[in-house]
Amino acid sequence: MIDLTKISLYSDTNYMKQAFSGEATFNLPNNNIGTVFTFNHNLGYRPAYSLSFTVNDNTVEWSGNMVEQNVMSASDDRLPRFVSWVTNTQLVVRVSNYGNPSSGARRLSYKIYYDYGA
Amino acid sequence: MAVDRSKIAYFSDDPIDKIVLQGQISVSNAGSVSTNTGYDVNYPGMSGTSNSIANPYGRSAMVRYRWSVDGGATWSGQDSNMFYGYSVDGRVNGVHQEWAPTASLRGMVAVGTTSSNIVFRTLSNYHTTSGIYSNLVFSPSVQVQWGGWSAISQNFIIQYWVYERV
Repeated sequence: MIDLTKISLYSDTNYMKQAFSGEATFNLPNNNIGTVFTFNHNLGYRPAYSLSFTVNDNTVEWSGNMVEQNVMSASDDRLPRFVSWVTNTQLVVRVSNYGNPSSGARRLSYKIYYDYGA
Repeated sequence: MAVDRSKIAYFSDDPIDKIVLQGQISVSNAGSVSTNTGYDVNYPGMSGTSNSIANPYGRSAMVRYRWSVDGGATWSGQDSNMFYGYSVDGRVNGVHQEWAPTASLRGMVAVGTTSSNIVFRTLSNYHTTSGIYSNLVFSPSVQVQWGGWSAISQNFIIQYWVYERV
């Protein structure tokens, strides 16, 4: 008898098909609370998606917001952060960097799936 | 007959996520750290850890992960913030004034990749929840002396899946 868990592709399983994927490179400005990136998908519903972002120095690609010791302190706004959401037509990512001394080249990667998300 | 692609679970023209690495790491975070700020003495501050392991995939890539602080009995999603609550005995020169309800962070995790490493960070401000006081002292200088708390160490179990970079 076949152990289905050992098979990487079989028809009973959903495989999170990617509709769109890509990268955006940009210059992270200092003292900015609202750099917004939009990626069109026009699927007509709110799909599942994934994001990663080189937060601080364009080296480590974090799959979610990076944490560091001051993130919950009074100076929490000194760490670049992003929030994201989807509409029926777009993936929207808002990057904030209020008061952070770091700036420069950054990379944002995304995947938008055919599967329903929000 | 025309094929409705949206009805097909897998179609060879659609990229699908492929996992190139998966694993589990255990990270100990000692909990709250005694912190002195301008006016606060022995304030329970955040404790952060950072650990790296080799990335044999050789490329930076997206990661999905989940984490647990109870030995794997329950799991938190990758962007979860786990909070807890307690009350602080607010005093002025040692005299009780009020019970101040407050909350702090029990756990938060981030996972990232470079071409050579997978990086794991944890953050925690976990400490005991009873007997905590903040005592405002006016002499010799105005300051708030904190006490009555002890750090609680936690073991973060992080399970991760690294996805192929297309």
